[in-house]
Amino acid sequence: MKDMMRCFNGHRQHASNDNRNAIKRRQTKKGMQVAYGLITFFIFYLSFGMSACSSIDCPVQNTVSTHYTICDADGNEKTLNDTLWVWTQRSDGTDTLLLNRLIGQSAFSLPISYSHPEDMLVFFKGDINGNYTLDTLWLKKDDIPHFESVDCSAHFFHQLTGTRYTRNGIDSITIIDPRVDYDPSKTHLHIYFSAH
Amino acid sequence: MTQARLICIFTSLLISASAAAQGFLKWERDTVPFFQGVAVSFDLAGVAQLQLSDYGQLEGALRVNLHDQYFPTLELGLGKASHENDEVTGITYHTKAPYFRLGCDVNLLKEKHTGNRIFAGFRYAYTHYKVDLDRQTFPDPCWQWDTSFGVKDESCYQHWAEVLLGIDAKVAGPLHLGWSVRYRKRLAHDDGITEKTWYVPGYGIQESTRLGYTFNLTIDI
Repeated sequence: MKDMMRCFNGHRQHASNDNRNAIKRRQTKKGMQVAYGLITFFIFYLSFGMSACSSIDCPVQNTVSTHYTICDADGNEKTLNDTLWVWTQRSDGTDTLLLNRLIGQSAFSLPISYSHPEDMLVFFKGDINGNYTLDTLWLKKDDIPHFESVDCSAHFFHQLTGTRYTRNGIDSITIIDPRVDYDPSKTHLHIYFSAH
Repeated sequence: MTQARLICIFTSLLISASAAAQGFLKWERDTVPFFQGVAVSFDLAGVAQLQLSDYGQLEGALRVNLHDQYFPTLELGLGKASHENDEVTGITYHTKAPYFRLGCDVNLLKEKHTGNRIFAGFRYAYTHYKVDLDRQTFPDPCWQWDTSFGVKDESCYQHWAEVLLGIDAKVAGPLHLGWSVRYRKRLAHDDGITEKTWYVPGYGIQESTRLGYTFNLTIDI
């Protein structure tokens, strides 16, 4: 009887060892399956990530220019009844027209140089009677390189630091907002023309 | 809108994972010792990224195993970007700097001592880096003056936070393989005079996506 019990217990011990080994094998197999799954997911995710990184996201509004508002003596917006032209001089000494025949408007925009410390602008204004005035504006500024991404073209933002001008047709010019950037809704300068 | 969608997806993933593992924060009372050892891991995704693109990172982590349940983690890395003379914009961008992330993972599985883990965690991260930015001289479109564009050794920094969800599987002996998906949020940053930078070491490309990922090879030591 005792021998039978020992034999039975021995079998039970064997069976429990076998069970433990089977569980261990199953766990290892499960671990390997999970690892394979992970590798597949990784490759999928890596390719997804790489394609996501290739997207280009540059600002749509990327023009940097100065915005002028024409004002009357009280500082209110005034429509220009005369005709206005604005020129500047290029690096090679030739003239280039920046604004052609502005009339019936109270605001206008002018380009600003990328990295020259002072822009020179020539304002030529004529009225209906054939009276003309010629003025020069020197606009001093600090230039700040502005970077979006390696996929977007290089631009400069500017900080206006001062103005000087002749006073033939211009009464005064004041800086309202010195920061020139992508924002087209800003007014940077108020320009007051002399009354005839 | 996209960000809100990403937050929703990530939050629902976290909630479903935690719901699947009810009571995961409850301390499991058993005879297993509290301190279960230390593991080191290496991020293979960053290395692959470095090989396949202009940027990437070499990253290692030290992870303490507390009762197979909590894993305080320190991640250290070296991020690098080298984009030479872009064929469209002509911009060259260089940066190379170390970064760290510090946080904790929680094992969400009910059976915590199997060696396999599903975990959620958080990280605080910081990097201080210098950027070299350059573009070949180009003419001003209106005035025609030669214009140079760039900065040299521009000092920048960034603090950010990450929440993550991941899997860690025991492959053989002390070797584990796993991945994590991370949602990142910038807390504070200074991008220098240019107001923006491109690649931030450890964070990745700014404004491309807020999702990050790692693929970890972990060894218990």
